[in-house]
Amino acid sequence: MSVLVRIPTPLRPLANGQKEIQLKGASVREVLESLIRDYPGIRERLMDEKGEVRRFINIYVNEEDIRFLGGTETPVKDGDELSIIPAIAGGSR
Amino acid sequence: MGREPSGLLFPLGLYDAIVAHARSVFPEECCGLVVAPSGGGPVRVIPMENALHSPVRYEMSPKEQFQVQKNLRREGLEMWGIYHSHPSTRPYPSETDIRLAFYPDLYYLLTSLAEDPPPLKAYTIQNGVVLEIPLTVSPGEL
Repeated sequence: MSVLVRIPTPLRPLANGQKEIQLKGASVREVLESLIRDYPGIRERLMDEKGEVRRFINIYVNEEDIRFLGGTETPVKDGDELSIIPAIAGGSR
Repeated sequence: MGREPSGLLFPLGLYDAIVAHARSVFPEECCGLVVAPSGGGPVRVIPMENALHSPVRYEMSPKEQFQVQKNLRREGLEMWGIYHSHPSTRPYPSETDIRLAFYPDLYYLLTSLAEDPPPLKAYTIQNGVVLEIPLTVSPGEL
């Protein structure tokens, strides 16, 4: 399975500046593991200590947030697109 | 473009759009994006919904972020900055702003409705370090 992974601007310096990377995997977790294997610097930005995707990292498969699919166990197929979208948040308090 | 040796030149029309957005949702915080062509200066403000509808916090809806980024990709535009308002406090990044700054590559713009006319300040936030970048609102074409 080959999936197009869209890398957000803040993570591109950790992935040789690439915007998009073709990676293999049968599930979101496998694709993310491929990404981290190739670009280990990304791990800490994506995952917490338990290996779960951080709360402020949103992951989309095609048009849907994986929280509304099967989380990181969501299966992916050839030609799918996986988007990594860090949250935009803050506030005066 | 948009970046002078001494700081940023920011179009008046975009400043007006940010202040109008801040006023329209007061007393909640507003939030949105400033976008630019690759390597260029800011050309458009995209108001986003504050999913928290709070006077002291903001968070964009991931779904709206996803859709906007897809549209920007099609148009050949990129995120240049992230703006939000502090309705009643000074326009300086709070501890929350710094902790949740996941875009060290972008400008964080802050306005405050505690002052009139509302100021607009620009910062970079990298590894918890805030750096103010002088911003001048420019009435003319950039």
